[in-house]
Amino acid sequence: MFKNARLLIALALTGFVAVWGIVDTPGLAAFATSLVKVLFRSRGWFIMLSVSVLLIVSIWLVFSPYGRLKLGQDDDEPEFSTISWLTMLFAAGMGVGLLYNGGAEPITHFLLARQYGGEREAAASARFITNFHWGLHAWAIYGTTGLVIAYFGFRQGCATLISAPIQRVFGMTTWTGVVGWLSDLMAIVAIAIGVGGSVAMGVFQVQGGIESLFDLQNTGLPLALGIFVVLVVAYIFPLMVDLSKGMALLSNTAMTIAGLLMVFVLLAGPTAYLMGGIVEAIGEYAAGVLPHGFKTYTFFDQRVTDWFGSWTLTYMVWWLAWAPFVGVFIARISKGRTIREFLVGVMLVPTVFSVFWFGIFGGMGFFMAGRSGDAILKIVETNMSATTFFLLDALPFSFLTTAAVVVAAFLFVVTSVVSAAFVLGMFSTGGDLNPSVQVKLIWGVILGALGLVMILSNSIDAVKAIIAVSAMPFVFIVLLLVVCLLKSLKMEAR
Amino acid sequence: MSWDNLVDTLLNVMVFVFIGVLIWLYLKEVPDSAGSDRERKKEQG
Repeated sequence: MFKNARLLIALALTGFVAVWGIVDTPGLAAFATSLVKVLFRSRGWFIMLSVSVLLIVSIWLVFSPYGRLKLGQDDDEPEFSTISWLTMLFAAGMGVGLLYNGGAEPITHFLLARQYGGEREAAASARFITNFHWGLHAWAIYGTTGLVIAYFGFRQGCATLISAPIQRVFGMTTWTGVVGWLSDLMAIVAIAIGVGGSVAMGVFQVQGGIESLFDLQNTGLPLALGIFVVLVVAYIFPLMVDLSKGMALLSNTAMTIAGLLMVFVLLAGPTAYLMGGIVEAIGEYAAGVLPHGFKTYTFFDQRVTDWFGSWTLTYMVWWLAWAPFVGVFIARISKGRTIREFLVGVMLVPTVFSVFWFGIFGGMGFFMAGRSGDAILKIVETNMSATTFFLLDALPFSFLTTAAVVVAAFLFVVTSVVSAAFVLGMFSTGGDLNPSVQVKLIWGVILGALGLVMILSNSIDAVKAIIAVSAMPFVFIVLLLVVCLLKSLKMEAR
Repeated sequence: MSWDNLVDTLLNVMVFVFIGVLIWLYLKEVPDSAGSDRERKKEQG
């Protein structure tokens, strides 16, 4: 293990960030924030252009003759039924982020947008922007990364590594060796820091739930650290034994809880109001999604450009940070599917689900803002992670539903860390499909340490900035991977 | 030229170069190793 240079350098890099963050949390947060500001100011256009290109390429592949090609040999059949495959795609997309942002995100955008126009228009654009952040562009990033991994892995027989397509298409030369090696390293760093951020987000969400359940206030760092310790204990055990089936069960349980919550809020809340909002949102989204992908807010004031950086651009790089991790997962369950089936399933189904999710939780938030005054707006401004619980409080059985959110958030984070430790182990050992327990445990510790750093920063903005810095290089790699895919498809068609 | 402008220019020049390299890589002729591997596998199969 200690002869593996890539593993050692990846551990050293991520370990350095973790130690820096623990020793000097404000220093790391300030450094990441200022670096992100420079990068977003100069390369915001490039990020938006890149994600739009990924979406357009994905749509083109669906309708092109390449869409008929199978992710596997021509006679391979899908391993999972279409229904369970689609359910598992939900599981990949349903992270703790949806629980955290469900009610809060649309209202956050609304608070800014209403300063530039009427409240009705502001609510509609807040809803549109939220769907934009979680919709087709996000899933085009995951979809293209997953497609490249699945195509080269199952059809071309390459190792499950980010470097494999580059070296397969352009041959094993000095530059492909160097770029491939760096790509694997950057993917590892992006995954580790991205998942570390989700650990922090999950802890904040569970903390908000416990405060709401037991009517506690300002529990601060001690409770967050207590939850963090329980979380680490919960994910260390599955790393030591092979619990792949058990982890799938936990992930499905979390997803089922989230799905039931969504249905409960729809039925127990103002159903017609929520459905009306969802139908409007579908129309607005379908009409504006492609042009909005090219929007960079160039002619707006500083407040809007800051918002654009800390939301839209941050989301896009966050999806990029998660892309190698989610990409490997969706590739593994998609063997035997055609490229068309894969892209339609990966992009469309989770997007529709997100439109419903935010339509219901965000719509509930707007409903409460319209009826009960500014209370919810204040919650969003002062304590975002408490928003979901504030919404649930207005409905029957709030103790049960709040507990359900806490359990689901906890399970999402545990399953994410266990899966991420596996993928990191695989990437850092040259594509070994069974990385040793020792390697997985080391990654588990690093992920925990990175999560701890972000908890100590006690600021979701700092968490976002640290992730953005680590994920930025991956935008270049994803585009290179897409070039590899297009070239390989062209060569295969000859 | 301010420091900010210089950094901005450098960061963007890197992006322009990258886009140029991507286009060049896409158009560049490479040996058909992927296709021939599949053909070989088919023949063996």
